[in-house]
Amino acid sequence: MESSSPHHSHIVEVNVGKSDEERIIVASKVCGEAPCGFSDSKNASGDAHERSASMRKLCIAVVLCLVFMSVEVVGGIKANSLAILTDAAHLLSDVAAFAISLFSLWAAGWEATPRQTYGFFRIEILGALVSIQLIWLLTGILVYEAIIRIVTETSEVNGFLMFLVAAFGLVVNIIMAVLLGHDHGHSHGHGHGHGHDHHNHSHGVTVTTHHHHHDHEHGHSHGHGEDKHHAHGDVTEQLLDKSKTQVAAKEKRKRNINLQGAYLHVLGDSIQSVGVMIGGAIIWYNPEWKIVDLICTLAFSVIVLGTTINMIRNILEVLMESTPREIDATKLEKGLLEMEEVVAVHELHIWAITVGKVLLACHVNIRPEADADMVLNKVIDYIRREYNISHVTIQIER
Amino acid sequence: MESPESFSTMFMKPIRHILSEKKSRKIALFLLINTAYMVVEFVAGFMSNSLGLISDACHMLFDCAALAIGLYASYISRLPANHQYNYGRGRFEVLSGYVNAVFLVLVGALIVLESIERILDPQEISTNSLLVVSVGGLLVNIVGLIFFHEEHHHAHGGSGIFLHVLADTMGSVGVVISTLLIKYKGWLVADPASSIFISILIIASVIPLLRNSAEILLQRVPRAHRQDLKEAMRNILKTKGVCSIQRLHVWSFTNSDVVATLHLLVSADSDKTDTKLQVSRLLEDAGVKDWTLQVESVNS
Repeated sequence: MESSSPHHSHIVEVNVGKSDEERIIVASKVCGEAPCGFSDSKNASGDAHERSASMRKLCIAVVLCLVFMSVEVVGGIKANSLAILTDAAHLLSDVAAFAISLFSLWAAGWEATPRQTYGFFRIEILGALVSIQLIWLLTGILVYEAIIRIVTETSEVNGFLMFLVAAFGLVVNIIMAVLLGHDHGHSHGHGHGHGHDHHNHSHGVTVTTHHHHHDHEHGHSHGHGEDKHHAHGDVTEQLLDKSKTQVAAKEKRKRNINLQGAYLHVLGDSIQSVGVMIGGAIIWYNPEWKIVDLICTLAFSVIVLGTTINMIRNILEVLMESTPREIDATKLEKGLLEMEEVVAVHELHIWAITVGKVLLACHVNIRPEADADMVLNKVIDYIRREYNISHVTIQIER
Repeated sequence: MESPESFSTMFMKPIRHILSEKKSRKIALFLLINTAYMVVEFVAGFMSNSLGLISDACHMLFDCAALAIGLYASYISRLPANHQYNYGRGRFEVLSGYVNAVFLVLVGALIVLESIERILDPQEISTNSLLVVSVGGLLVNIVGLIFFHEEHHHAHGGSGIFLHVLADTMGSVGVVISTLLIKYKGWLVADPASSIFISILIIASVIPLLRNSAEILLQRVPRAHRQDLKEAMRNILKTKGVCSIQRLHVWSFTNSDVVATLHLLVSADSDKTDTKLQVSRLLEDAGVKDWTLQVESVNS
């Protein structure tokens, strides 16, 4: 797949005579285009595949939203009802949320540039955060409106109309929730595909890095190269078993975060619609009990905020550069210390550029007599084997 | 966790920290003023059934939330790094700035939409309570402006709060002016028009904060260090023994801490320790605080 990577390293080397400026750009590009490619949980093509599937779903959702919106606008003008028009404005917020998700999905696939050396994966996280904020804001506005409905006694609340509009909104949102949410059947097939691709990919990467070493090293380093090849044979075999279960599990847990955000938005909307429906029905039945409307809105708002908490935690984890939950930094450090050449590990940084794409940087102190290159390879191997992190930078110190 | 001792430390530690620093003490005091004003507004609003009071109180609630997050950020970002947060928690400040900015932009956009609706369908509003509320809010916000205007100049962290308070102050001024216009001239359009004007001002003033924090969160190469870094890379490539630089990543963890990771390919016969030392010095000169160099040898 990424077989072009040895050429890249060549380019870097060959270009030595050229201007420094150009070399810097080439050098920094190497990462974006080839070897690192964040192969640790899924590969690029699998990623792109998932992304395009998510984008198609969101596109359908946007079109549906726009259709329903125009129906509401026409109906609202015909019936001369402000409530229906307001609900149409609410649907506009759905469109905005989907548009944010679509944009983030699209942008996350952009290539890395010299300024944005990790690529644009983070955009999907920021996009998801914005769409969650939009959910919160809309929930807040709904609560505010419920308060206003209680305070203003002049305007009579039409319970029946409230009920009707909310019921329509509920139907729309359920349709979209089904559209965005149903991929449990899919994820199985995906999991397998990914497991396989992923296996190939990691193999590809190891081969290319070795070519690189082979090209420039001989004598004793060559021996190391051989060693590494063997080690990798084992690794890939292990991964075969692991990847199927592990990756499939990961996939399920980490549905695309933008799709999840859009789904949560729709889910929140339907929950709110149920709340408004109940409130409307009660006011319709007995206009005196207006307080029920507020209580319903408040209760259902809390539920909506509850649905977002898990996702917010994931987003915060990534943006705070904290260690992903599935990786135990203490254990990793212990594992490194168990190697006989390693004396100490410090500045251990494990973080994720986006959910599931993990990076690691650390400083390793080794015994003065140990061979730095060998320890480096050993440490990189260990981390890739045990924790499936391939994007590592290790500073060997004595 | 339930034992009284840990309970008290859980609360006392942040409080002691907040009181120990000038900046967070200011935020805490302003938060108290805001909360008190909000409670008064809510109570008065429900007693008099005044929409204006209640909507302003809701706005105040939003402000209080922003202040509380800012206060929490100033506490948490000082905590040391641990195994879960291995760079420390300084990012929270950037993150809260970003969240604040996004909220301000979203609210601004909503107000513009609402105002357009009102221009199309002007509504009669009672001006009496509105004037009292907006003058009160203006006073509170002016206090806030005095509190935070120093931070705005030197520290970036406080600028989210400052911008928020500034936006509120402009909002109050706009409401006062439009209320007077409606009262004495009967221009109902003044209210939505001033809302649109102020929202656009707010959005425009928030955009630099939004861009800055988004760039940090996106792990972009820091703008301020770009030239220095280019220079440093040029010098690193000139260093004896260095063949090439790969996987170069430079990003800023917070506004001030720059982190770099890179892989150096050096020729096998050179002195690696020395090369590493020289490169480290070059990176440090370029403003990088935390770097990791992976040195790989190549025969060339």
